[in-house]
Amino acid sequence: MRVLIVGYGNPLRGDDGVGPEAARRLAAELQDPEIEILTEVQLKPELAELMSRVEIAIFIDARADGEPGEVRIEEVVPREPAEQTFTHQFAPPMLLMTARILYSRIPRTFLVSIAGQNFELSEGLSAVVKAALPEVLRTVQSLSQTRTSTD
Amino acid sequence: MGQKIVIDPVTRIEGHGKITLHLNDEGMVNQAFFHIGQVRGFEKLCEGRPFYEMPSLMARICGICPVSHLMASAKACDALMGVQIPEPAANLRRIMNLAQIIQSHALSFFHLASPDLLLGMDADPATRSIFGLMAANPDLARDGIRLRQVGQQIVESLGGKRIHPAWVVPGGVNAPLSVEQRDRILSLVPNGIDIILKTLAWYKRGLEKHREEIRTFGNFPTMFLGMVSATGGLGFYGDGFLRIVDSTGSVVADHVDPHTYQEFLGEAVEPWTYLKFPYYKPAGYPNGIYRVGPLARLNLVNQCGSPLADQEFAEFRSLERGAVLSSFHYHYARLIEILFCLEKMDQLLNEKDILSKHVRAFASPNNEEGIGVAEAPRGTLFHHYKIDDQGRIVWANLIIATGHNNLAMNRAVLQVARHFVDGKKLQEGMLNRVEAVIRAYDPCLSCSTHAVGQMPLRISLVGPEGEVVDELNRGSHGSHADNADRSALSA
Repeated sequence: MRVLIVGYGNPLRGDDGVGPEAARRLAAELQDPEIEILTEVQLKPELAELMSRVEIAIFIDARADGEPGEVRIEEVVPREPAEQTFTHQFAPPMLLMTARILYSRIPRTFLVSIAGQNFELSEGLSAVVKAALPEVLRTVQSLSQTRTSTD
Repeated sequence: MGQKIVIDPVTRIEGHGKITLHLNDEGMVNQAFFHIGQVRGFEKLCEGRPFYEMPSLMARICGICPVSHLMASAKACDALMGVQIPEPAANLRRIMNLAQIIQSHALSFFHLASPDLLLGMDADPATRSIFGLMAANPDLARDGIRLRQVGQQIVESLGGKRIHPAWVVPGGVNAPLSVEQRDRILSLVPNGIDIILKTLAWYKRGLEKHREEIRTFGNFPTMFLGMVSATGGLGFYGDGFLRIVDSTGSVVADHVDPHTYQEFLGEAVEPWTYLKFPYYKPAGYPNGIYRVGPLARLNLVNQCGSPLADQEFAEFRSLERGAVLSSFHYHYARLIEILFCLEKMDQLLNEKDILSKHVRAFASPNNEEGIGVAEAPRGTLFHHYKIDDQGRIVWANLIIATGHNNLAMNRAVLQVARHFVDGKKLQEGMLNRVEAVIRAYDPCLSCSTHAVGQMPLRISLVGPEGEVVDELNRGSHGSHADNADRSALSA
């Protein structure tokens, strides 16, 4: 396996479900044994071990800031949280740091985030976020082709 | 003038809780409260739903222990249907339940409690975290991750996904076990046993340095309550009977039918928290205090029921002549239970009919009322439903493991605060111990208030006239107020 794609968020919180929905659509489109696609409600430390075994990791998440539907790509770097209160969830930089400390190997990692409009208790994506999904899928597929030092 | 210390939020627990410590004029703690300010209302929102939706609905109560709610809910639905499910189906449910207990206990021990245990209660809070743990003992951190994976992979293998699997249904399970699934799960067990034996040895070597915490962390006489198997061993699936013992280990009640819980369990309410206070009715409130969960279970059973766990159990019970009373030992009990779960899983997977295709009973509702009981990671879990003639839920009552421990958690907070907290010379390590005793119980506040919440906690210092003199407040990311703030808490 070369690429790990993780769509995460809570589908019962409106647009917070955009990550899992994008992952679901990607899983239907991409039938590549080199790509593993996961949906998660939240990120947990166990993912670090899996990340240490791939070349590229791509996270898909909703974000609260920005114009609804806006898609942003950022490369993730390892980082410990500024405040050290672990509950049950990690952010991608923390996972990357965990992979570095415990498994001495990290992939190139990207976060594709989509600005949401509605995060209230509800199912389904708002129209503007739904309309951004094709761009999200294209972006993730393109990132999955990123060349790495082992290529 | 007295004061109040507020810790909000309590960190490294599940859910959002707050602790208030009331000080007397000498700056010593004379009252303590553990408040839960979140409410979920699952019992009300399920009214009107078809009963067969309940396992899936109730699993949404919690992302950590959904399988426990699946078990208790499905068993309540079995009772509504009036069916006895096929034994292979019961064994498959048991295996999933054991897997979930492994991953839940591993989360509690390795990720939430270990920073205190490894780095010390007085360590710099900036490093007293899972990242500090990784730096200090990467092997322990990797073992925690691996053990979590073992539990999660088994749940996923059986249920199709790790969170909220829909495989457990009223009447049994919706698919039999394949040879490939069985062999895959069996292949995970030896590694899990190696890890937990190594962890137990490490933990026991370090017990001596926690002597003061063992003596003062919720170390008081209470009763203990839980389900035991028909043979007196650990019975997580809840098909044996309820047993209650007192602080000396003597049996208070035995072979109790859990379906009669309303006859002996009351639920008190207090105006300062949403979490109810279950108590043992014959002893009244609050004298009917009891504890549930890993420590309680190991105080109740005659043996665990598997070879390696029984060896560890014998050593554990030799800690005291009667029941093991210190809540610090919840951690120890959790590790022994993980070992039992792995061994028991291996036993069940080698049952001759485990691959049977007959894994579900079908029936329309035959009873208007159904009760399901299971041992969740944190203790005994009751789901009790009533339906109308269309099979729709008209009433539901849930008694959650964390709720059973509410009286004991509050008393433990008071004991720790009185022993460690000096309101005139407040130190972070004092307050961390107040939180750490809560962590020993591994409360699941989302479950127990049936919350969309984060786990953050608050400690308040209150004066004798009720004024909040100062607060140790963690924001949404759970940061402590800085030391300068806290050192200003003197009267």
